[in-house]
Amino acid sequence: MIRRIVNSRLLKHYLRDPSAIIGSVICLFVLVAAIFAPLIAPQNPYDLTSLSYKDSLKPPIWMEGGQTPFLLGTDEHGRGILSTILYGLRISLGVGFGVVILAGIIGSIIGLLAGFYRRWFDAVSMRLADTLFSFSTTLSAILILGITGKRGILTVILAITLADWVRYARTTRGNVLSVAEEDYVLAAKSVGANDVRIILKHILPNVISSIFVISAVDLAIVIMLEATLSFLGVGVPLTEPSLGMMIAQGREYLYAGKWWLIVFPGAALGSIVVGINLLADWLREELNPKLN
Amino acid sequence: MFAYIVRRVIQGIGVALLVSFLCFFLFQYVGDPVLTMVGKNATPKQMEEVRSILGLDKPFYIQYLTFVKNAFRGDFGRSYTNDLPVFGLIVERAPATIELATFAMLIATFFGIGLGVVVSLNRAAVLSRLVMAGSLLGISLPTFLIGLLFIMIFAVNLQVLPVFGRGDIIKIGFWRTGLLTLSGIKHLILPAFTLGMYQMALIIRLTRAEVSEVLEEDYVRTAWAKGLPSRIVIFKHALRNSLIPVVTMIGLGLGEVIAFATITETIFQWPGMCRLFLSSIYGSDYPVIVAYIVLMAFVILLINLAVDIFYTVLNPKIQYD
Repeated sequence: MIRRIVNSRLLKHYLRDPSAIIGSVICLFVLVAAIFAPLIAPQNPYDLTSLSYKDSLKPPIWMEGGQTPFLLGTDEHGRGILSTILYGLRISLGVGFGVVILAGIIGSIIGLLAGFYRRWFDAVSMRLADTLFSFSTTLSAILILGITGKRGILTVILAITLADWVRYARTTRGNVLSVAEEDYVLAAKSVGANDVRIILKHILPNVISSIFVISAVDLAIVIMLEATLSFLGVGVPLTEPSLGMMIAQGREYLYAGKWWLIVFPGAALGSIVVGINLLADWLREELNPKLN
Repeated sequence: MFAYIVRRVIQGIGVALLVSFLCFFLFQYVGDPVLTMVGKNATPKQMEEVRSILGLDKPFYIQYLTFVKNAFRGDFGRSYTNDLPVFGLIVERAPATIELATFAMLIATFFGIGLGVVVSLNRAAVLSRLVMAGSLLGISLPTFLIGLLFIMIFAVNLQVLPVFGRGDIIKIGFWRTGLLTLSGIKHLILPAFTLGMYQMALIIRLTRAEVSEVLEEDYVRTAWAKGLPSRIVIFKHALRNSLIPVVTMIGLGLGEVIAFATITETIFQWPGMCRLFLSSIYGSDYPVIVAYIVLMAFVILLINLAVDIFYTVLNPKIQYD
């Protein structure tokens, strides 16, 4: 087993691809930071008893006026920027993975059914998908969250999922259409295999690699979208830490020279997305036979 | 072609009817605009009065049918917040958004395709690596962050470009343009680059992938072997055959640019219709929300039509009907 992994093509390509390695190091780092945030963070930024207005708007520790334990400075409420970022990463990743899993499953199922059964289900679901897609995930999510007016992490996940499943459905359907004409599928049909078996055993394995590639790209997009929604004030509630909201608050001090309020959360957000995109690029090249 | 266009327009009307129906359907379950309008101290009787003036006491399908009937006459109702006709509010702000979005997309297309071709011709060069690293950043930084970083660099530190509003405006008929004054153009630069950056990065990456693939094709080798000038090989043989996916993405990108204009307009205080949409969402201003969405459906329809027609120019083999 171990020998198979060591000798595999995937591992060889991976080790020869510096950007894939950088990408996975970033992702691993962020994942560990997010999971162990309560242990690493110098302060719990959402424990009101630990906050003090005396500490508000302190610069990073290497600048004049900076003080421990606020390595990267503090915001207007005296919350440490580093601690808030660490807690904010959990929300970013939670929403990201939540949406990718939900939208991935729903979208792939709709795509499989639309491509396999065609007829009215295909027509209705793909019309809907085209409409949502041309409105763009961002606008749809703003609209859904804006109209419902509810705030909460679960609401954000559901709203983005509602706008985002089309990404999976469209591609999966397209791939199913071409796979469904293959001889092995026709053969399975002719020996009387039932539909569930054909879809799960013969079609799904042939379309799943593209679903993985989309999920990787989608994870990056969803994390940016959550930050954007929270920046606009229609995302996660004020009581939760979010990189987008931190940046929105920092915007008010833009001209006051308090750059750390924006630069550090921005850098954290940018690095996660860069890391995921690097891995997504590698995954696409490995799994897409057209490019090899 | 004509039949095709008519069919697409009918489809577009269908989409507009569907999305506006969904909006009305949602409105009945959420937020109460009357409460925001009259304030918390109003008596129930006053609230009922306002409700019946706005027609909000009727079942939602009646509200919807009334809306559709009026919309076909170009009447989208009045804004709840300032009691002005919604159609006028949007039309008045549309030129600002159209100028911003068009410039953003022009920047993205021009630099995107240009840099994409340069990068695919010499993939190992230092410049190519820099461009690809830049495009990775471009797809990884959300629009609002790019905008704020631009403001920090160009307005707060260097103080070279304005970041507030549209500058001096000249009125031509109903169209207020910022393109005819120096200050208007200066005000456009940062918002347009902010809005175009993400699309530019996407176009660079796609163009590079497509052109690299086409450069391996036999007809391109033949063209080189024949001794054709590189200008002709690159632009006529390679680029033209790589453009179809790129044009598709630019078409989709325009819809996205309009969505992201909401963010850019907020950051740069740009007086466009997307900022109007956002404030109508904050204020539960239903007529504005619905009118904006219906309008978007038509704008997106027009963009898609234009893309479809452009396909036939790029590849005469493509025909509709």
